[in-house]
Amino acid sequence: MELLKTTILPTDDKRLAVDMFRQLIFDRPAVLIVVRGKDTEAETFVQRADRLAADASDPRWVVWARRPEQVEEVVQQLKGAGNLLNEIPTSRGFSLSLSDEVRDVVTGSEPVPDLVRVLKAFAKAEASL
Amino acid sequence: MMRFKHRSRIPVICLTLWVAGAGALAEQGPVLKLEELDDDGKTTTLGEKPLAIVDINSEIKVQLDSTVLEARVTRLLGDKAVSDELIKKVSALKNVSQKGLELIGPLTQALKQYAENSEAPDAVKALSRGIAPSANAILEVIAVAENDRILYTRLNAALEAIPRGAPRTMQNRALFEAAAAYADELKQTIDELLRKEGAYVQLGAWIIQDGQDRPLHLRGFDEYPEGDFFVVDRWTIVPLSESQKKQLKDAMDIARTVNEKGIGELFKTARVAPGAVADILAHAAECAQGIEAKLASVQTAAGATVESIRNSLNTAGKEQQEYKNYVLSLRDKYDSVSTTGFSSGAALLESTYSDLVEFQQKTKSFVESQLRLLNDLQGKVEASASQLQTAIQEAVKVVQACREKSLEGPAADSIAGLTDTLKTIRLSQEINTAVLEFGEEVLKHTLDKIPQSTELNLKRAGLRKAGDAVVLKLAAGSAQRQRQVLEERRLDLYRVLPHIEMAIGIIFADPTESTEVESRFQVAPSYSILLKGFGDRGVTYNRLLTPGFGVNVSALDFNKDDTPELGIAVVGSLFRDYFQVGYGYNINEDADYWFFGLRLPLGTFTLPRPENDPQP
Repeated sequence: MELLKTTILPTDDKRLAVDMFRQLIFDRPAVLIVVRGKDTEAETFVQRADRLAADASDPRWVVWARRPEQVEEVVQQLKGAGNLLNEIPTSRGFSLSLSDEVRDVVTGSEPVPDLVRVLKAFAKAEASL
Repeated sequence: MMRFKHRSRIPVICLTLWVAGAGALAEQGPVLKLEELDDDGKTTTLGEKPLAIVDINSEIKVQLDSTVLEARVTRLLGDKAVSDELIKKVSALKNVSQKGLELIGPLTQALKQYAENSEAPDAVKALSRGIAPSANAILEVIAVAENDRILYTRLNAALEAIPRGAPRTMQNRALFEAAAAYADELKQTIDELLRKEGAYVQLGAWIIQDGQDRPLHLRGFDEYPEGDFFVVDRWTIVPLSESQKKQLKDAMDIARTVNEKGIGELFKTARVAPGAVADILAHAAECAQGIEAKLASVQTAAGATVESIRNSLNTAGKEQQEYKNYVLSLRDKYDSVSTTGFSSGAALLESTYSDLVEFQQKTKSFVESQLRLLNDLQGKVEASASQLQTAIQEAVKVVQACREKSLEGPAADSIAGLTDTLKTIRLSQEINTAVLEFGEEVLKHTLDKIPQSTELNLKRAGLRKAGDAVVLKLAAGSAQRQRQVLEERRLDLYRVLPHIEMAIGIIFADPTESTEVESRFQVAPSYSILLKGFGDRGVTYNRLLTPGFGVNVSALDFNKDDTPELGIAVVGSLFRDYFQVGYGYNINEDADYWFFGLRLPLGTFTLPRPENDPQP
């Protein structure tokens, strides 16, 4: 699997995973899509998000949390609309704006996101409110 | 994959499924968007009101909103296959995809700036501002696609074609181009459906002057020739015209009479108007009765003749009776004008104006018809029937005499004078736009071929004057459905921009020092050269107030030697120059005076009266 703009969080070192996740969100200005889970559907989601993350200089980036429970403490610190934050634990993933705010959640009940759905998640994170 | 609220297989089926719901939005606003470009180079949007005031020399830019037009036409033609919502969708997609493509440049710039200097203070904020508009446009396209499976699939396919790691501008271009292409396809399908219906649209323009209308040329919409080029002059002070000289002489006569006999004479003269109408009608009634007598003679001479002659005589007699009854009822109305229940002076003026216009039209039509019938009769009668021939010839002479009395010579002058005056006093023309018919020269356009814009250059509308009106009418029809008007706009032409006008009238001069004038005021003929038109496009301002200021020149006689003295004054004017006030200087007598002035409806004050008519 060729991924150009995706950071895969380690699954065997929780501390490292949290540090990396925290750094990606809070220390580096980026429009992020966080993909949760490690099944093939999550993998498809990651591939599509990585595809729309554009070239190296673009601020779009993808984080793949294959064991999302490891980074739960960081997720709980995120800002965003209440209903969105509540949906994260059962979601396929979510998008974050440059100001680290949750803007969109791909819920667990949705089909595997196609490219249009992924683009929507990026665009929601980039749009003016 | 996404779930869809509506599913459809091919666009045409899709069209039939869109029921009108939120479609009313597509019909919002007018189809015709008008802008006025005036002679001073200023552009004014004319808004959505059915009536607007424009300068008499302006050019009117006409834009057609194709989305609103399509919605109106489909609704008008009752074509359920094309819903308003679909038209709205096409419009939204076209607009947002165009906007998205235009935003690619600024987006590229914002990304480049950030990549080059991401550490700069406010770099993130600038990036956020730079990428947001494109993201908003993407969300708009996706919102439409979420209710349209075909579009959604096309957008996915467009994004699939973009290689991994390619710049996002490629994504955006592919997305917006796919949306635009889909909108074009839908538009073509709509156009095809309407074309099958034989739907067409027409746009016509007319100028209405004194109740008469004539069509105007609109580029791309008709085959009328361009009208005569005529500019209503703004700044030239032209010498007095013959008509103005006559008005000045009339003013002089009135001034002399009032100075000799007192102010009461002015009010006596003012009562002439309704009396003058009664005079004209009395003549017409006499004529109608004269024709009746002559037709009776023809009837007697014809005796029990052939049926075709009897039929012609019956028709002539019936028309004559109708005309006589019409004239007599009108005459009675003006004989008792003082007791007739006009609610106001304005109502009297309105009624008199329309009565005179109608009288002129009916008399003309009656006389022409009588002459035609009598000439026709003459052709049917054998030359040997000399008594009948003579009776017909006499009847023809009476009808011709009536024409001269009622429609030509002094009577025509009187009617023209009265209608001119009344027209000036009335605040605006009443226009029955229903009678404005599309001529054969007005082209029928299908929706896909209709020009999106045109212009109406008022300078190409030939001779015109303040108070004239231009009407634009947009209509649609189809092979099965009769043409119906979609929209009408009326533009009243006034001299909105700064210009010079001349007003002739009388002034009541009050010398500030001792002179030979015995009463407080001396009445004198005068004219004012006024600067008017200060760009206000308000209805009340242009129809009623029309303020102006300038110079007043009058022929005074403070020393009572019957030799006019020249008075020069500064003057302010209001209410279409009917009221003026100013302060001046009698050059010959070295005397100051203040004055107020009136612009008299002079045509009304100088009507010829029959010799035996008692003075009011």
